[in-house]
Amino acid sequence: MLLLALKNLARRPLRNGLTLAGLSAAVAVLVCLSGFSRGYERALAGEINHMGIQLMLVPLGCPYDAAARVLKGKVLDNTLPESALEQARKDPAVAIAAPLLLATLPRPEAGRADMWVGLDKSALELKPWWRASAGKDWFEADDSLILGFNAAEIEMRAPGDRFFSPETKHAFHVTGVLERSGTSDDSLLFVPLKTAQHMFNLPGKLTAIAVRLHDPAQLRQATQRLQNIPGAQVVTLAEMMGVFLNLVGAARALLTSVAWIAVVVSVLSVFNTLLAAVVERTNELAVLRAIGASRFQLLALIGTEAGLLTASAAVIGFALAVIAGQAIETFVKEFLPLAPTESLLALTPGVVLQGLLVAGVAGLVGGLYPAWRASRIHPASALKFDLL
Amino acid sequence: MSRLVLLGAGACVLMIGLAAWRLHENDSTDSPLVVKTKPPEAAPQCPWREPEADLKSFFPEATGHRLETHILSGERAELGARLGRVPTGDENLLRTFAVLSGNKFVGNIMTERVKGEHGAIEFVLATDPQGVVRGFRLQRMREPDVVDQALSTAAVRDWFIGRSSTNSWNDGSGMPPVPSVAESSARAIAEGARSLLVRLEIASLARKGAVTHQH
Repeated sequence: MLLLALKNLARRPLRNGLTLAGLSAAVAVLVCLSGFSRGYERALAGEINHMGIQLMLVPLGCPYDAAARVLKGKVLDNTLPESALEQARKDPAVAIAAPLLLATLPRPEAGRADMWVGLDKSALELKPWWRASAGKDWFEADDSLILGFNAAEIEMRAPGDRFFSPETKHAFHVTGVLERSGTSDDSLLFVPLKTAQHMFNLPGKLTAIAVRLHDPAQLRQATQRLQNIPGAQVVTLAEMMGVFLNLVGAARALLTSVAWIAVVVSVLSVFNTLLAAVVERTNELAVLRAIGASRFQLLALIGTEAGLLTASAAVIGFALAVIAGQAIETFVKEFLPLAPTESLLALTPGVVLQGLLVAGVAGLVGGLYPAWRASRIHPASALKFDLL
Repeated sequence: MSRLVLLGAGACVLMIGLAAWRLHENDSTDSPLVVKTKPPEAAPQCPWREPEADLKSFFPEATGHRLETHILSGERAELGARLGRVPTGDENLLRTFAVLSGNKFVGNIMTERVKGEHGAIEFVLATDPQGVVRGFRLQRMREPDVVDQALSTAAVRDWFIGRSSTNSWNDGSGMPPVPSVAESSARAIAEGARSLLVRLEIASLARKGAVTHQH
């Protein structure tokens, strides 16, 4: 039966090949979408969890925009008073409150934007990846500078070298170069908090305060208390994740609809291909009936052809999704807010099963009527053709 | 028919193999405690930041350019002998922008990043088809004003014009005088330019098959 079904499919290679290509593409798109969706959620949750903080204190304004900018090392338009830090540290639920001052110095004529971060030693406890690949892992003096891995490569700096900021006219000594972390820290320039406040003329000001609690279960109570700090507002990382996922969710729903439309079109294509095959082979199928094949056997034959088509499409579609996944991911990451640095394509067993299921159902639905039609062919149809 | 079936089955197996290989590459430990780091890579290539302006300045007749990449790892001995030192890893590669006027090759533009006193210094070097410098421009640096001004003078720029790999460079000591704070950066630029011209010559000779290897 299998061999016969294969031979039948091979008799019309172009037609069946095009149907196969269409269904494979639809499966690939669906698998990619599902994979990216789960991968983005997983990667975002992982990156946020990996930070080891539960909430951030940011200046008044749009909290999610502020938090997103801080997490990606971008500057904010307004600042927090340093008194907010003292109040946060006094809260009984707070284990670590790490202040940050972020500033970006663009120099368009040089095609450069220096991103500076002022921090104190409490930040180290929130950055487990903070290790020096060369030199020291902390500042030695007010003019100490620690560079992220990529920043050090581009500026060709090593511990002991000098560094100059033409925009602020500050000179530094490179104390250390960090190991590559795969985070935005790789491109940043780190200085002591007081130095950053002096450089950017922001004495007593902060961009944000990253907070880790003793017990994450105390999040709600801690949030309510910290919300009362003047000039500050609280953003929990879980809220941020929800907002980003909602933003992505809208796009995801749209793209999923498009993918499902592609699947429906492919089902119709399978239907059309198999129905055409049944009509073309009416005589042959009638002869089979005449020599003793049962209705069920004819139904099974066409059903097997449908199954082979869709099984092949599932395998090819899945392979296409994996192979093309990285190229698509690079493109998609350009448009994602807070795009995680790790791979977005998560081909979990659930995603694979979904792809296989879609292909299977497509085959079943598309092949059902043609198979039924084939089973209804009367043996006398063969004689009718011969007589004519 | 059997050939078609075999071909189809072979294609499926190949795709499954490719997919399995890609999945294996993407496999992660998923541990939140393990920081993902990429393996060490070479420093990024110095980009050419203002192609249109440079072409207009150095090659007014230019109608286009194409990127050429020359791998010089096979010429490492020759390179070391010409440079008078051990070549760095970055010097195994030379990227040139071949400038065209219609179909005619009229010269090369190259970019280089060197280690200045206070940060990296990028410059653009334009050469004629014989490898003689016809243009030089400092592209980016972060030196203090006194160094920036000293290195950006017309005298320094013009010093490079007309030089080639066969000139005596003397570690840049023949350059126009600059303040002492700018000397190390000036020497770095001179050495970077010399390296580019030597690599360009070796790449040209290698393409012609004229490089001889000493055994």
